[in-house]
Amino acid sequence: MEYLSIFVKGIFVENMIFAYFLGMCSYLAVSKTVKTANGLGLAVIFVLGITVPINYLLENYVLKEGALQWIDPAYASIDLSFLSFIMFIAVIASMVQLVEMIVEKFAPALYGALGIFLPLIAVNCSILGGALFMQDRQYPSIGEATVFGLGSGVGWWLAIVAIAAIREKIRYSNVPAPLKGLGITFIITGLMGIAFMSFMGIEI
Amino acid sequence: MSEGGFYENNNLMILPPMALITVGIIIWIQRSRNQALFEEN
Repeated sequence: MEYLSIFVKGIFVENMIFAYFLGMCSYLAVSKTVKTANGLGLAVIFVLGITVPINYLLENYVLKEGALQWIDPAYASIDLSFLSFIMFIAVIASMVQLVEMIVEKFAPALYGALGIFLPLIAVNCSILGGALFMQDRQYPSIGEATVFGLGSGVGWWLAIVAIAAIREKIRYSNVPAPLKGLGITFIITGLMGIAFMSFMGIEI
Repeated sequence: MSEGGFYENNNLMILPPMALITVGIIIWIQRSRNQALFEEN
């Protein structure tokens, strides 16, 4: 039940977009059509689901104070946590390279549609945010960390697919000309954020 | 009119998502003043 709770919390209560506003740049830029938004969302789920557990292992067996004890008890006083940003980003960047190669090989049309935003997952705030939340919350095992990564990835996917579907429909609506495009997207995102605030305080 | 008068403040505009709505309204004002910035779709 613990896993289910972390997963559902990651999707709804602590949604990366609507609760923390992380990863907004690609969220706003790639949400014109559902198809590309779905592709990017799946890529983000994959990257978060892989990098959070890897970073969990790095954090607990290399970076944390006393984490190097498993090599030699003499290393118990070493604290490498000042390296965590650069290590997390290195892991994320290499995983994004992997995703890029996979997408280029198996879905060249999606690769063309995503363009620069596929390699830019490496600097997507929600990915590093996932790693840093994992570090901050000190999950007891790698299972919890993985489920948290997948849950927040699914939350991000849900957000971008929802806004892409609304933007596809709203193209046929009579939006005031100055608000068309980015303006109405910001306002809808704000309204969805208020809607997601209703999940606040739910204990599962 | 002391302490806000008839209006009972519900603090709606200090919620975090209201930042996005504020940005949307700024975009609206800016694009109304400069019509070259309209988007096609």
